[in-house]
Amino acid sequence: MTDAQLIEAVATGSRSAFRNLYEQYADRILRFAQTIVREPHLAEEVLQETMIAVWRSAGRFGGRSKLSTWLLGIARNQAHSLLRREKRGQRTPAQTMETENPAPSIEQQVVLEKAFGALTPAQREVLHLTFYDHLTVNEAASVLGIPPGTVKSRMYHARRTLAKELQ
Amino acid sequence: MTKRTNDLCPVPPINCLDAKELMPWFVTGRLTPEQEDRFAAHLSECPHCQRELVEVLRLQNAVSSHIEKCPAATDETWKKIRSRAFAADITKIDVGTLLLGFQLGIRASSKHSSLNGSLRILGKTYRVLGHSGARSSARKDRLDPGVSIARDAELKAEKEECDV
Repeated sequence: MTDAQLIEAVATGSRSAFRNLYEQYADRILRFAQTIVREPHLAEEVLQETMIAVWRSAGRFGGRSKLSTWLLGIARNQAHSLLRREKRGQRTPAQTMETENPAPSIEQQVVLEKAFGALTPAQREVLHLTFYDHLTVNEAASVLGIPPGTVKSRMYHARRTLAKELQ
Repeated sequence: MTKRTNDLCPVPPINCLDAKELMPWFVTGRLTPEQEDRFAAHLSECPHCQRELVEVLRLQNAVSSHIEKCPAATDETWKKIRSRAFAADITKIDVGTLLLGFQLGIRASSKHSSLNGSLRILGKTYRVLGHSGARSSARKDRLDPGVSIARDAELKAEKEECDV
């Protein structure tokens, strides 16, 4: 089943298609959310809200972009809404999340975590979409809602900052 | 009279600044063929950009492996999403026949309703009808109780499907 057929089936209310969509994209959405919100329980909430939004509005997918780009764009909006709520003090209570991959204890990962945390959310987003999701400049621009030129300059500053933090 | 510059240099050169901007997408293989040719032409002659490319590769590897270590989505999360999404449905009807190849779906929840139709011809599905919109919560009380039988049967079938 192609992505277009999959989202079309979700739009017509197919629960099995919705499950397939979750299985195909949940990890990518969760990790992108984690990059933005930096807290596992908040990232999980973003994943939930994104999937609920997709279930309710799958019919609005126009096919002008790739399905993955559309989903990451929704996830980004949900993540930033959550961060705004967090700032206003409407904090989501933290829950213990059982994970199959516990936080790595090696020194390199600690250094990387610290360096990644030193970046702004906007810088982390562009690094994530480019280095992890392998999006093109135009695809990243579509997800972030910014011009392609801004993606390039944001990436340039992000990797400068990260390289400095890792020195 | 044709310009001979294009014969001599089919790939217009780029400078270091442009090359530095394109590096992240070169290491992930997401440049256009034209951009890649121009970048490669510059790289072959620029030791400074060659050194910087090694640095970008190192960063890409570090970022990618760091993100990869984040926890994957769990079945527990799916169960929460499923209960939220499907419990919100007040009614959902699928009418259709595979013989005629037409399927009509109606879904309504406290916040949303949709009407979708599709026609399946020679293995391809064509969307012929689609409408969705917000609905007031008061409307759910006016739903035809007759649809609940179809809804219950479908919910049961889909529960079994989802539990697989």
